This record gives sequence, structure tokens and C-alpha cells, in this order.
Amino acid sequence: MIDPNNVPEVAVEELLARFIYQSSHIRPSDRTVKPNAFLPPANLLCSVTRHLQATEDELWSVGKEGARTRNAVLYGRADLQSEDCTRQQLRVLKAPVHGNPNHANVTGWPDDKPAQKIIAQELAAAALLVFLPQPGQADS
Amino acid sequence: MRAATLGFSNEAKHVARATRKGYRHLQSSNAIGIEPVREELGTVWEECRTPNWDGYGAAAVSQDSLRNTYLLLESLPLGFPLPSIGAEPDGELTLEWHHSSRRTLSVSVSPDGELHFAALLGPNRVYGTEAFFGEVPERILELGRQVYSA
Repeated sequence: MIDPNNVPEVAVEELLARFIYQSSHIRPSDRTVKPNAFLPPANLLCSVTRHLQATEDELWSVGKEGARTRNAVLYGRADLQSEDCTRQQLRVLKAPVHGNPNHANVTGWPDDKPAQKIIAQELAAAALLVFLPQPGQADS
Repeated sequence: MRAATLGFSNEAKHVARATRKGYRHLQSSNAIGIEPVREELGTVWEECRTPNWDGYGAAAVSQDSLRNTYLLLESLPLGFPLPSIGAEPDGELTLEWHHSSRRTLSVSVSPDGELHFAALLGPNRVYGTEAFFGEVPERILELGRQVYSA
């Protein structure tokens, strides 16, 4: 993980993970992520975790800890590049939190709901869904 | 469902009622109706009717959004491709028609009957808002058809 005392700005080529805690955010038909997973909450901050300097195990640990504190089920994560966000006029800002120095927020969302939806569709189209490996299964 | 008749006589009203009843019967069939997505709607509603259902602070899906979504599903033309159901952080339910990553349509159903939609159709992006007055707006039906056109 990133050194909490030296967190760099997010670069365009960085990979970001959006953890999926809701089953209906996944399309069973082709095992892809729905745009709903990227829509921001009321504060217009879409929470992500940077892959930078993190192993697969460390990434999944962050997701599992998130599930534990939320009393939710972790289904997987949607990976996308920071550039996929900036291409939609969004910004990705470092936002380290206790226990996750790799945390960042996707910001700059429009207030208009349809405009948010079309951006979320673009992000979903660019994202790669990675399912949580089951016990005994090699990491994908 | 489109009005079967514009007449005001007792006979016209009877025909309209019978037509609506028959239409609802067809809609409830597994073969050509909305029955397959009713269960999915119920599942999503159960999972998302309490706040923070997505783990990121989402608002609970409201009963008004559920009711409007159900009415919208019932209003789809018979034989129209069935959507999948989802929910959004502001508590609105969504219908999604999805063929591929760039042939996809999402419609959010608000508690007050607004339909916010967005579609990727190849290189084109279409988005906006339509009001729901008991019939699926033609613009949304046309986008749904385009999702599955070659």
C-alpha cells in the first residue's frame, strides 16, 4: 500500500477499484458491472481505492474490511483507469483514510441526473469486473 | 397501454375495460408479459428499501419509486424486450436494456414520475428526462429498440 506519510497525487495511468457491495450492480447475463455502481451519493464523491503499490491481497482486504464495517456482502470490484474518469471531465483526488492510504474520490460530477447517468455508463463500459476469489481459488 | 377507444357510451366503456383486463392478463403471462421481471423487482426492493444498501450511503428506495416502476413495466408494449432491475444511490429504481457495453439504455424512475434516461448507442450518447403519465414515452421505446437493432 502507499506510505500514509507520502501519498502522491493520482496519475492518469493509475488503476482504481470500486468495490461492489450490491448484487444488482452486476449483470448476470455477461458478468459486467452496471453503471449504477458508479453513480455518486448525495455528496457527489464516488469512493475508490487506488491499485498503486497494493497487492491483490491488500486490495481485497480493503474491500472485505469495507464489507465488515458496512455489514454488507463484497461481491467484487470494478477496475478502471483514472484516465477513464478524467475523459468524462471528472477529477480523481487522493483522499487517504485511516486504514486505507490508497483511498481516493472521483469528483466533479454534474448535478443533473441524466448527465450523471451517461457518465456512469461510460465508466461502466470502460470498467473490468473482478469477482471476489472464493476460498481455495487462485486470484484472477 | 394505449387507450382502446375514445368513446363515452356504456358499450365503449365496457370494451375499454375488457381490453384492459385482457391486456393485463397477457402482461401477467410468463411467455409475453412482465412476470419474469416482477420477481427481480421484488428482490431489488427487498435489498434496497433500507438506507446504505450499497455500502456507500445510498438513500432507501421509496414505495413511490417502486409503484411507478411497476406501472412503467405494466405499460411496456407486449413482447417488448424485458429490462433488468437495479437501484441508484438517490433511491430511484432503474430499468436497464443492455445488449453490449455500447448498446445500452438505463431509465431511472423517480418517486414523482420523472424518467431520467441515458443511452450509449455506438459512438452516440443520448440522455434526458421524460415525464411518465401512465404510458411509456415513445422516445424511450425508440431508444430501447435501437439497443437491440443491428
